[in-house]
Amino acid sequence: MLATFQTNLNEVKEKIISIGDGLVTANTLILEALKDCDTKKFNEAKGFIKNISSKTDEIDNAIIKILALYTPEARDLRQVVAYLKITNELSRACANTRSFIRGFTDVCNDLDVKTINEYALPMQASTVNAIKTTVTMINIEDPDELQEMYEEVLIEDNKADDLYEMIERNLIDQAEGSSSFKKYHKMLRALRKSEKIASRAIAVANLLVYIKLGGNFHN
Amino acid sequence: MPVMKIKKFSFTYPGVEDPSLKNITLPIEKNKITALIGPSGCGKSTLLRSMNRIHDLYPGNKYDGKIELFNEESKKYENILEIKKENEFIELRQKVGMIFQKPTPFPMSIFDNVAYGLKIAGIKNKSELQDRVETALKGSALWKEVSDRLDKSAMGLSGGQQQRLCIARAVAVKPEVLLFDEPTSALDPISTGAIEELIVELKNDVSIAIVTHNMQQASRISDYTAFMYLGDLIEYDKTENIFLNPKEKRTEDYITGRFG
Repeated sequence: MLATFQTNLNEVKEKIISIGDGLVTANTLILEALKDCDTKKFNEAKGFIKNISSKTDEIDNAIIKILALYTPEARDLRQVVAYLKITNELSRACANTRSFIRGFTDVCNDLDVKTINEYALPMQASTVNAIKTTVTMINIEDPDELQEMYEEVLIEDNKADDLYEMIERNLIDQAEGSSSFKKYHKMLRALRKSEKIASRAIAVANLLVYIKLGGNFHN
Repeated sequence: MPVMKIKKFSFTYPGVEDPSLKNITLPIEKNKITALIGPSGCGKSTLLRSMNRIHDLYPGNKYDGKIELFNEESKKYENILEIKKENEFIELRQKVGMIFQKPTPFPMSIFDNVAYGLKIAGIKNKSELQDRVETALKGSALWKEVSDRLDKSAMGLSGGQQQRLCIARAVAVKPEVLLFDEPTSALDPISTGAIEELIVELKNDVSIAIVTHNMQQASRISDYTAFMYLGDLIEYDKTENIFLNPKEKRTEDYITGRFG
């Protein structure tokens, strides 16, 4: 393919990595903020996932232009279409992050955060590891290395799922009969967002493997 | 700023009543690639060949309007349709070179093919000829493949190499504009890719107009695209606008394959 196609595609890739890096930083800050319900850190985290809509619109328009002008095929086509879907997944992960911050900070000072954090902290740690590894995968070319990293993301996603189940059980036990039932429910919904971010990470990892190895899309 | 301005240009072949080109107004932008697309018989090649008056190799053509070429020395536009003298035609075709669909190497050595235009231009100094030939062959990404056999016949080259040789021959005389008339339609995909890369590189030094039936080629390499139909210019715009959001329905129908 022409050098100009590669240049345009690399620009799209860099923009996607930029959004991914912002997501990693935001969720790393959230991990630190969780311990003491540090509102300042939560607000700092929000700064790294600002203006995502306009950034993803820019990427989508760039991809449409690439498809119109270069009519890529085979691996090039898989890469362009996968980037379109990855952008969407990252956009949703950013939305989940914002919802998590909003929901958690609403109620964290009214509930026993120390008990919640017993499982919330490792769950958030798994989420951060999942996104970090996924963003690193964007630049990996070697299929074996890519497959290995995919397995790592899968493990972190499974851990996040398991830890969320534990949180769910604990919070329901705590909430039963409590006058703060609504607040526990809100907390649970917020923590669910963290678990969803890990799911987005595995979806992105899946797409990155698809670019390299082909096959069909599958969720 | 355009290097060439085509203004209300009409062209009629000898012995024919109706013009093959009707009232075309179109710029050829400096250091850009302008693609001419359209169905067979729409006048793309007729327009391209008007840009260096190659139709005048046979008599009886009728021109209306203007085709103005910017003169770097006088800093003025000059109407090339007013050219009448033989030496002025030669000078025009050095400034506005042409590469055809079928590679047209001369039946002589690789070196002599590239040096031919230089010798016509009056360059006799051997050292200068060698330098200019080497520069032209490097500029058309052919040097590495032929540097050890410059004295061998150009007819022994592959199709893709012959086409690059023709480009080197045109580039050697330092043109301002290069006209490509379906330069890759006779070539395999790999040679086509190499020529496309070369054309994109060349626009740093020359302005380019290219006729192509291959719309993907037009979208890949051109900066501006003109869609023609039955002798008329239907739409002219930046290539990304033509292929993403064409204004005219006929343009959209053509690029989506609904006709042509």
